[in-house]
Amino acid sequence: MIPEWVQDILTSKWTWAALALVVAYVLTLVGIVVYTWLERRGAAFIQRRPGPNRRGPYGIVQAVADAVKLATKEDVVPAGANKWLHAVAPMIGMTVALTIIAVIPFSGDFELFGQTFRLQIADMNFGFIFILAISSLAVYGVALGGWSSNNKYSLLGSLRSGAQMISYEISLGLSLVGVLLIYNTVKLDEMVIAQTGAIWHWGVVQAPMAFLIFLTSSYAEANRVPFDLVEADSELVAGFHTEYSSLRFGLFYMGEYVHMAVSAILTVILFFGGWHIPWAEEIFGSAPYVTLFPWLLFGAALVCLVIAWDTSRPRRRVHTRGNLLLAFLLVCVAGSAAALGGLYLAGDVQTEIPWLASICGMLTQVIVLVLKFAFFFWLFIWVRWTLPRFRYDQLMKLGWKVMLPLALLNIGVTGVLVLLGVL
Amino acid sequence: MLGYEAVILLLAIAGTIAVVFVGLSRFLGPRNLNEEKTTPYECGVPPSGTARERFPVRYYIVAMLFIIFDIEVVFLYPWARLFRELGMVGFVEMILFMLVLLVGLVYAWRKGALEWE
Amino acid sequence: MIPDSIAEISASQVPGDLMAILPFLVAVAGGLVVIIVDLLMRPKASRQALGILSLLFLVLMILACLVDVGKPPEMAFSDLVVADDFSRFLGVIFAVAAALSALTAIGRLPDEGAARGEFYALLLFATGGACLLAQATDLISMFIGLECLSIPAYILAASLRRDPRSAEAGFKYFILGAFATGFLVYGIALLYGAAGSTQLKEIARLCATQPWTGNLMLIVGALLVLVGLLFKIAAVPFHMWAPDVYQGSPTPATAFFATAVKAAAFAALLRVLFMALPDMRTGTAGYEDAGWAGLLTVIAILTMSVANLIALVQNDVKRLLAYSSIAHAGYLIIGLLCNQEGAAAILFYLAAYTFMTVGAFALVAYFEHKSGGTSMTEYVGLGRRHPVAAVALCILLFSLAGIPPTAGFFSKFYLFRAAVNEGFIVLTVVAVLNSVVSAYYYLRVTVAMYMEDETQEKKPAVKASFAIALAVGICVLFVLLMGVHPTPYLDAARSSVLSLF
Repeated sequence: MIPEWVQDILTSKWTWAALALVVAYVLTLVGIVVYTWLERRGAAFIQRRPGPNRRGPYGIVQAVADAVKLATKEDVVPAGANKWLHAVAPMIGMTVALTIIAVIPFSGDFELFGQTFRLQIADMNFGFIFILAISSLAVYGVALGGWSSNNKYSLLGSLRSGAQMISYEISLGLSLVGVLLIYNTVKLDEMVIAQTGAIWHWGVVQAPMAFLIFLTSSYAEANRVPFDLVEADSELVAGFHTEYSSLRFGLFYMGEYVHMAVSAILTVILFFGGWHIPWAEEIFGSAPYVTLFPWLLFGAALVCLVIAWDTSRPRRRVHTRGNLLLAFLLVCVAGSAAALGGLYLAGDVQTEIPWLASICGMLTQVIVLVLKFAFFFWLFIWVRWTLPRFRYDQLMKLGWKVMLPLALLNIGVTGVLVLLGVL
Repeated sequence: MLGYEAVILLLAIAGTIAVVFVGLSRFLGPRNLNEEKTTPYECGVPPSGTARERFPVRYYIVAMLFIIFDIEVVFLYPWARLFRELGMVGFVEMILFMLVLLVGLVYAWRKGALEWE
Repeated sequence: MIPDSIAEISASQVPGDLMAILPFLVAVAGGLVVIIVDLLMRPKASRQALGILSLLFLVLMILACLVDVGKPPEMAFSDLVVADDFSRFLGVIFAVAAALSALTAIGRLPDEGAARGEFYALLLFATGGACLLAQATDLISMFIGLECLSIPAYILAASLRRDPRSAEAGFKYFILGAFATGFLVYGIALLYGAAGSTQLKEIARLCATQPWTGNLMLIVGALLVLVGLLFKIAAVPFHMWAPDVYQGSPTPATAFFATAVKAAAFAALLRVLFMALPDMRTGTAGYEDAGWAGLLTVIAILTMSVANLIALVQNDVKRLLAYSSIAHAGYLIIGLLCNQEGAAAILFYLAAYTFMTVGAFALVAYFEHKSGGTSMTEYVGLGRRHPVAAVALCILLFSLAGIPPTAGFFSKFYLFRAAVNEGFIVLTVVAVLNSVVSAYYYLRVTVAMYMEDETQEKKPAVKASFAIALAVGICVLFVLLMGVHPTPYLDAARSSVLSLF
């Protein structure tokens, strides 16, 4: 038997809230290092050029170097700026995006010593509404940042993006009404549970129009291409953050990535089954994620091996020591993962140590969620380097004259289908 | 899973991170400001006039429309949550409500409130 | 989870509920139809057709009120509103006031630049709000009705976009109206706190079961609600907005404010005072004057006297009529003190007052044409230039002054008789004296039209307008009809107030 104090830790709600916090912050804040790297490498990939490839394997340390560079830059506050608001504005967007993750469930329910837990920071019965309420605060950061800078370009940029964000927030909110009609709950974890089983239980199949509107609106909300008029550099310098430098600019920059990360997670949760694999129960039995865990380990080991092989290849006919070290470490990781997976299978954890099995099942779900999330994050980058930018009147026209009527129509059609019993 | 207190906690953590970031550049970065540096950047041309100017009234119109439709959305959430319980009557009532607001949208549309340029 | 029964209840009751607020629905649907048709029309086209369309809906609304007359009161929407003869009587008044204002607008607005479809749509929305207000048996629905009425009214006041006085009127009306609404809502909150319900009858039950004199929350709540409603009827000391708003607004809108808005606020006052706070009328032994009866006596005297005295020195006919409408609110408050007979007198008075006031404002709008002026000097010599219109204005002004054989005489007569029967001798004497004072300034207009010499150059005659002629004709007809044969109208008013008691 395991010692009592371990059991106490395992059955404390704080443990799992803390773990959820770690997952959330890794996906948003720490992830920024990966995202900026991914953005630059992705851009390079799409434009058929190498991209950052010098510092670290695949140039991944470049992002860290950028952050250090930003932090050691001079913090310039323009003359005549409202100093207080100038400092507060960049914090708002970041804080808001980091607060939303409180209600995001990263795994389904799992049982430990007769108690049920879920990897979610706050279990609120109106989680969905909370997200909408908090996320609409983000516009303050943009509006205040532009206004407080005492710069006409900043002001125009912030007005534009403020108008843009509130315009698309309506379509976003209305598209989610369609989602609510289908799931009949405002709790995000219940929404994910509603998408269990066949793939046509997924939100994207049940409400494809809501998904399209949601995705488009969340791009506009995040001020990303094709809706990045805020920083239309040919017209407005850099938009609302023209007068920001150093880490204050960094906060705006990071806030954008956090916002994108949160949007991507929400897309997965609302429309793509969250942590679910379609037909998991039919294929893998009654506890599919627990069964899947060792195979996941084997998969991870394989991926590590492939990366190790790739990094250990000589670059420009030279083996760099760092890359070789990384390859060695990756092989070690792969070995231990495979060993753990073997042990798991051999030891029949599922019946012998049920608590470990349910934690492993939970981890599987988190990884499934993260994999789906990775795709939607990549989609942000993909779109950015593929589509041109809208003109401002086109943007507002799309928001008010296309998206809004479509979202209203979607509610009507979804309502009829629900009433007819189709959905 | 924590309750509502987690939100306060998370706000505090996120706020702290943001404050630390803003504060950090004060310590790490150099500080030798001069007049040229603190002048608002307007494409290298010396700024003329104040930036605290009046801006086009269109933005106010967008804000007003936003409030109207955002409140519509707020009304729709409880309805959508109870949609299956309310059944046909609730559906018809809400469609009527949305039609009334749609008249508002059409009105704003036709009157040119949604036109830019 | 909610019980299944909610869905069933709402499903089975919805048609009945909707029938109960049919006049409101007709008005609002009319407003929406007007907006849609307006959008379909060419921007430069005349909007007179929309006025006729709104008239159609107002006639439908009158029919919707009249078909159910005599039916027992019917509660709807979980007792939020009631459809009784009281609300039907007032519904007819609102619709008539709105229809006559719309007729005036058809005749007048094409010249004023406010000739947009919105005018008629807002008029219909406001009329719908007034209907809802008259039907409210709950403070919440009362508040919704009041807002439905007020917000379109604010926009109507400001609808002459190029006229700074109209903008001022709209702004003043909006700011002060919002302030009064704040009082009202705060009062509603306190009454809810005291009674545990926003239902008027629940509040009445509270007042009946325990002495109200010690219940501070109840007293302050009732006071704040009264303040909010007294603001809407422009009673002194809450009348400051009225002259500026009435003068600055486009005249057809002024006609609507002076009649329908006032009548609606009186409907709410009657409901609140008689259905919710009848026991607060007088205080307990030793404090007989402490109730709202004492308060309203003071306000009635103040309103009549102040408004009439200030009206004496007005040189602008529109502004004069504004003060006159404040004074009439003062007379009407007397009716609030006189129970059933007083309430019936109020309804009769409101009906008569609607015809005379809208008619007078319609003529002001008519004479305003081209010259754009409403000052007394513009009226010099009208007796020769526009004999028919001048006679009509004379009849309406005599009626406002209370000279027989017009409706104004009988409405004052019934009101004062009710007051005397209730023992308000002093109040009645003051009111009669005030009527005498008011005769002076009404006659000043007549004197200007007929007896003063034209000093200025000869003015061109105003182009005749069929719509205004029709509106004025209806007004004069009813003013004379109610003055010669008032019995049927009084009987209708009497039977209408039964459901209040």
